[in-house]
Amino acid sequence: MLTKDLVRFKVQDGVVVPGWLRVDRTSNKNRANCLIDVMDRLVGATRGELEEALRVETDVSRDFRVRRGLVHLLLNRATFDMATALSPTDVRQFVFERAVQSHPVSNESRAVVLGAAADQFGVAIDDIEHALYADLDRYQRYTSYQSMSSEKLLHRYNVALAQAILLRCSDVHITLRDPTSKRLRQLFRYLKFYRLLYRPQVDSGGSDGSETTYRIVVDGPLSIVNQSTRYGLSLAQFLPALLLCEDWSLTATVQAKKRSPRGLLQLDSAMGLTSHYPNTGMWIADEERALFARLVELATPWRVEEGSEWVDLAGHDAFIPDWVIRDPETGRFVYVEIIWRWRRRSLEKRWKLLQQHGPANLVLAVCRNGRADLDALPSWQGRIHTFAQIPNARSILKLTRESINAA
Amino acid sequence: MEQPGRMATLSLEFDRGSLVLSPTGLDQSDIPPGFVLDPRIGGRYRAEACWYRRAVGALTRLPAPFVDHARNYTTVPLSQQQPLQPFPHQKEALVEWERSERCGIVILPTGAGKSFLAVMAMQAVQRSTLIVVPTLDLLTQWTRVVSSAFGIDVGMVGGGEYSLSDITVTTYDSAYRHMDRFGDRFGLIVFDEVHHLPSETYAQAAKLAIAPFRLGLTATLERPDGAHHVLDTLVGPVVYRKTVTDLKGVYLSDYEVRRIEVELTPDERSEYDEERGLYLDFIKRHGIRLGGPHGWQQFLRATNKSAEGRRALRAYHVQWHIAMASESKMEVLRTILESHAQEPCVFFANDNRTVYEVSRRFLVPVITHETPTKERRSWLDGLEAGRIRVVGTSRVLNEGVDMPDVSVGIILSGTGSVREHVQRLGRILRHREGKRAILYELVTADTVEPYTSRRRREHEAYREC
Repeated sequence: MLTKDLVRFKVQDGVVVPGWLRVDRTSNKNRANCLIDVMDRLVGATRGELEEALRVETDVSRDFRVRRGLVHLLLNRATFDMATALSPTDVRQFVFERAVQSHPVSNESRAVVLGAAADQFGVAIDDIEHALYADLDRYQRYTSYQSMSSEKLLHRYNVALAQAILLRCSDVHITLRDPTSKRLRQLFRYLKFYRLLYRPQVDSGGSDGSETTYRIVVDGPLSIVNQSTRYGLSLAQFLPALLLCEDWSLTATVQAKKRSPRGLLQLDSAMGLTSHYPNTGMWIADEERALFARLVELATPWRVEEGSEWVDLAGHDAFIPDWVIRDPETGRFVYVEIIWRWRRRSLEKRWKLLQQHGPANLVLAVCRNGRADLDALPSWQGRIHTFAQIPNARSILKLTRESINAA
Repeated sequence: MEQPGRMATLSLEFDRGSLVLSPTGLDQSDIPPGFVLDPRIGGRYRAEACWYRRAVGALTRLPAPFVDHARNYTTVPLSQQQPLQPFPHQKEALVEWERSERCGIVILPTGAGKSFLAVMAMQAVQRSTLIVVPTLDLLTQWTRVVSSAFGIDVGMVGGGEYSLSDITVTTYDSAYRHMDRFGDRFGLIVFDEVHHLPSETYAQAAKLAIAPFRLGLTATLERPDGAHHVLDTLVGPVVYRKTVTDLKGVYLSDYEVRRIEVELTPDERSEYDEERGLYLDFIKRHGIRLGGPHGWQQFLRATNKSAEGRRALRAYHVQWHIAMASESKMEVLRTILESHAQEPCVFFANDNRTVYEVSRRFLVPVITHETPTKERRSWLDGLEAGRIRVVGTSRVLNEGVDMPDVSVGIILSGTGSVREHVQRLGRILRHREGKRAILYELVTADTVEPYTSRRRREHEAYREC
């Protein structure tokens, strides 16, 4: 993410206008390429030399803030090491303690001390001078960087810019259209990871196939006490997770400084911002596909819906079930939640929450994990199906029937 | 489901730096101060963690039963391994702090034994304690002091370490970042150099913690931005104050200040004049008054806008560096080092460049933010043991780091901030029998520096010198 001094945006008629770099524009590619070129050319130089060479490329031009931003992102991908085989700490220890004998050293006695060190470490005097502070940042050797194309750098720049703007934001609203349950879960996993709080509101799509819209207010625990930019960092870190979604938009209030005007930041999936976060948890196993197909086949006339539902657990947490099985005639339905792999402690916690605050119309299918662990959990009061490797569709439907009839 | 109403059990939890109060639907009059209804968690109530003490007070007075899940700190038996006899001012300070319900700030000059006062407070309170300090040097120093005082293991959070225990030392940087994770773990928080706390980010360290007992320590409370007033709510009122002059000669060593004016060499003078002319011309044309309240920021903004501006900024740095680290100064430094060749000395410079220049020239160790933690310790111990004579530093040693055996200080260059200067004086003002410390101040004649030095001296520690 860009640092404060590199952020570029203005507020126009109450709207935040970020200084995006258009990825397809040749002038931008050229800017990126000339910096990438320095990164390629200077491998083997010291960090000080690299930074100086980059500074020459940035400070001569009027758009130096853009260029410094690109440099910032490039330097994040560079690796440095120490350009000496000696340990600078050991060299300093020897040199400074030896120098006490002729303190304060003159030019002559200084040379004597360094000469003694050269003998001690078996190198030339110049090497000692060099090793003395070889561990300082600016003397480190620039060894490599994770290279990337100019397009990718420009994409990274735009995301880093959006993140840096979010650092000073509050009042964040996210809208998702037709997310899958896996996508929603991924998003909430990231939200939780960054310790954010969220309140979703769902406009369920009708049976006519209209889309399901999620409106999510995102903030932190203390936003309720005073609206501040306290959670800006978490929100900025979270942004690339949102970029993984297919159809989304975000609005936030941005205020650069205490007395500067507020502006509305608007981002959406059409802008082409590209995430660099891992797209985890989206994979669908063959077993899962097969089970779904089998359920669809056996459930008729009931419908098995893949769509994502949000089930609130009295404000303590929420869960997003895998599927919903619905009787179109009565409108009655059952949530199906399948737990494939689990760890004892997290399952225990989830167990407790679902038991206390979960809905009655829930069918749980839990893998036995090949262990006796399941027996050690407190007994489940609701409808549950345990399986060894693959859940049995008929067993799930049997429990579904019980639930729907009971309602 | 929770039953709203008077007799439902009240419960308090710690959640990421906040307090959550259940159940829902409380009478307005029963909601403790600082709490608001939070619809995101089913209508329970939320407040910043620092309201803990008042909340518990209010909730226990209600007729309904009350369970406190928020408090995650414990009673820790703490007793000093070898009890030391406190000085009268330390005893008085502790009494005043206790009288202020164990919430408050003590102002004592550097060297008057603030860490020992903290040890006394910890022994009095006997609770899990967090100590928050500004620098990595102080992090290691406090860890040593506290673990040897009580003979216990002390946790460290900061500088790449993350080990929490009942007694933990952390930095302000780590504290505000992590307090939402461990703000429920400590009953007492000691804020060392507490004048750092009022900044908007660091203040989080105080707001997101439940600790009912708080002790702030500093030598100089006044901040240029006047933000020290908010400390009253973050920590507590000032409960005790003694100045350098109150304690001078009694508990602190006597000291002498020698100011030496240094002339630039002809080459330096002409380069200085040229660069200075360049930058003065720039600020004149842009109508910038550097002495004004936001002059410096205004200057930086202007220099950021053009290649010419960036040249002016460089000119500013060059002329500054000439004034601060001229060749002539280096020679004067040599003379001083010669006349104290057998005594431990510390020199201070404003920027790392100067510090490293001196280090290479005189082959003496320096401590900067880039010095590895282990090496810092080694140089300070070496100075004490006589293995080395001189340690140089830029800003990292400005505050609170113990250097008991240094009797010569040399200020090679510095900024004008009064606070910084008093902290520097503190370096060599530690109490030792028959010790008379000398503080040299090297100032380049006919440059910006004499002005800087004058601003520095506008403090009572200096007035009678």
